[in-house]
Amino acid sequence: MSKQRTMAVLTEIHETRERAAFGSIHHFCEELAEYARKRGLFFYVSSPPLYLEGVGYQWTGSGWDKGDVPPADVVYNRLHSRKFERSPLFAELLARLAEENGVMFNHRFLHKWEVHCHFERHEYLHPYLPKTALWSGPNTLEAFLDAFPSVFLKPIYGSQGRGIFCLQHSDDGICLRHSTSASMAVYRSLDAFVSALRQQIRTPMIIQQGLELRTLDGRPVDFRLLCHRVRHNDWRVTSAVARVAPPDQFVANLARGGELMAVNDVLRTWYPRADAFQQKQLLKEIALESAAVLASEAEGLYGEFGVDLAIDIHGQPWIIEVNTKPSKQTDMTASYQSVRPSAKAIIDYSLTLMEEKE
Amino acid sequence: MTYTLIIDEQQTNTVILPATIQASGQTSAAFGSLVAPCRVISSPRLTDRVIVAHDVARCLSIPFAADVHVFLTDEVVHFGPLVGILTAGFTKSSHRPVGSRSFFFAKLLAQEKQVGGFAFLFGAPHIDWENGMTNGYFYTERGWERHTVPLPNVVYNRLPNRRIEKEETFQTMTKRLQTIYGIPIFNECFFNKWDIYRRLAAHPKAQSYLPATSAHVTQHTIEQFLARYREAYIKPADGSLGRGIYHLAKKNNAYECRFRDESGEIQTALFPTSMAAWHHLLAHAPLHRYVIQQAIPLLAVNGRPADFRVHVNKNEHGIWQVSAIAAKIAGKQSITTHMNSGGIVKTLEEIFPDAAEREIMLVRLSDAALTLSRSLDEASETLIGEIGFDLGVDQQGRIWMFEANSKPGRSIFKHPKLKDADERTARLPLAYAVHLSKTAITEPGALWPC
Repeated sequence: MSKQRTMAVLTEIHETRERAAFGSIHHFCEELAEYARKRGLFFYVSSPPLYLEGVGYQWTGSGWDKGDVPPADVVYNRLHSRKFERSPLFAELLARLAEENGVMFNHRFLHKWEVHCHFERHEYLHPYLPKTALWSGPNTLEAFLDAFPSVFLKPIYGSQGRGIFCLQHSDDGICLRHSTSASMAVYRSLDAFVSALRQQIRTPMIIQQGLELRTLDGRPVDFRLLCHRVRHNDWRVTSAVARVAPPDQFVANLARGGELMAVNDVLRTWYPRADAFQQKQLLKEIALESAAVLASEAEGLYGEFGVDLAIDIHGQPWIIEVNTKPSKQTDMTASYQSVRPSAKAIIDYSLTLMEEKE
Repeated sequence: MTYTLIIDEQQTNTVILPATIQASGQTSAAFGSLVAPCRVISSPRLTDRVIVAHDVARCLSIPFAADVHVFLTDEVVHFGPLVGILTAGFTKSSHRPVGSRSFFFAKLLAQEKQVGGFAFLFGAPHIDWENGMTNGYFYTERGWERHTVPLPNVVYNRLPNRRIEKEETFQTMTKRLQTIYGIPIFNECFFNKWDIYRRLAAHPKAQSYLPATSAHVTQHTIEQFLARYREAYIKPADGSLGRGIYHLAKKNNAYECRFRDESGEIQTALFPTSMAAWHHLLAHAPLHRYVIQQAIPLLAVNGRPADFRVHVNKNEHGIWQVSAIAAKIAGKQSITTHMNSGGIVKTLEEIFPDAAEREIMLVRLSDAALTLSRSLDEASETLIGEIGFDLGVDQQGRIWMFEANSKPGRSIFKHPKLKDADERTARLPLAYAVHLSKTAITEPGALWPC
């Protein structure tokens, strides 16, 4: 008989005396475990230190049991700390996996500038890429402010819409809004803003062309498409939702209070049926092209991306950003089912990887 | 070399060329099928730019500034080329003009920057025969854009299927473009298996690569093929993607027939005689459109039969070159190596880890593909710019050709290691289109022999 196929999820585990918690993916791990069992996979959740000791948590149907586990054939990386990816422990983990012939997917976090550079190399994606530059000083920012009605400054390691600035020329100078504080400030000049900014930012930022997004009741909308890999390097969209920004906000992330809507409902309020259909197909195709390009350009193996898209007032779609650790909150396509399509897709892809190895 | 074409708003009735282009007495400028009289002057200050006065550009319907090639005849300076990619199935959406194939064409057109010139997508309904103009979809930094331009210098046929290609509209359209405007069209039609076989079998260099094939699929030929080769394929002459293929084998005293049923499941049927097989399975198939071919026992990779997709293109000099090679490993129990029957794509590096062995295979496959493409080219009345060959290597190491496709599929290029080949095979048809345009402009006699 062949060896039992084994899959592990690696994430940060918060252990207390009563229970272990897997952070934002806690419930998702239950779904993964349920579906893994259906597919005959041995499945557990572990953290890097536990994995190196051969320890993991197995789903019993009602709770998680800690115990000894075998090395995994396939590891799904859901570690959320970027700092950890640069640590010796992570290097040790990779070495152990290589030694045991294990495969890890979603190799590491890809930051915004890196993602942009990968896309930039593919000319056919240019129409969908907002102009973007790495923040290097006021000159680039000034050029962007002259070229576009609004400009965004985003931390390259940011997620969930945190720490984003939106800048616009106004009669009194430069008008600044902030995604986290919802405050507004006006600076007399660009220099005044830049010196204030220098105090506030400590992480690398990108400057990005602001877009005149199509709105619902004046609230900007973006689309989150969850993409999963299937056989032959093909990708599939497993879920798609529209996110509507809260009133007075310019980002639509759920963490910032955005509201979920069905993609069709949003597109049908904007367009006649035939155009709504074309736009929906186009959003899917752009997401799939983005996923395929990133997977082939970035080092390491990727099986899942969350692609954020938006549509401007001229009907042109844009790639806003890509998430390597996408939140599962948007996968509501089948809330009546116990296992979401994204959980099935992760397990199915893991099985494909195992078959390829055999 | 290419030059940046600049449209000058101040000048009128003039084109200015760098002195390195040796113009002498030309009196007009041309773009695609349009010609406009103008002043042609040289300037030593220009090196990699050509300047076209705005009124000349408007007269010629040059849609925007771009990198172009410049071809000279005695009287005319040609800018371009203007390359029309012919297809069908246009939607009303300006962001998605050919539906789900829009990104496929966007990737192809994006290669234009490397090659120079203007490439656009068009279909039969876009041509305005009265004015000799056409509407075309260009893929720019802003996405798809529609412009009205002259008829192109060259047409690259990318019609999606045989049915559309046979339609009256396309037959008359391609004939008119060729005969009235002298526009060369390449990859004019899908290949028919029997036609290709016939042409290659007559060619001394190509013959040896061909498995025995017959267009007369009768009980008698089946009997003959099985007696001689033990195994044979019966396949539709106009088929693609491995659809409708039967595999026949003589095993001891029984006849085994494998095929995919309507639901795509592989069925195996055993018959005591070839007569029984004939009556139960084959007599009802439209066999006049089928060929029967000797089956070749293929080289196996991990116990599964493998064959090779060798992609060849004519390059910017009009010379055949191998642009991609990949192995296709058959799926479990599959009849063919097609990916839709569970086949997987591997690179030569993956299946021949030994460098010396790999090199030998690479050379032999390349030689075979180049010999076959040159032979096919010589034996063909139409212009061919790219071919996808399905080649096999038998257990003795001999190379065989199973299929030649004039519109080879691109699914092998999803393999991450074939990224360069993917771009190369998208770029070369445009590079060949430039070569063809140049030939059509500067030495049309070479293209249209009497």
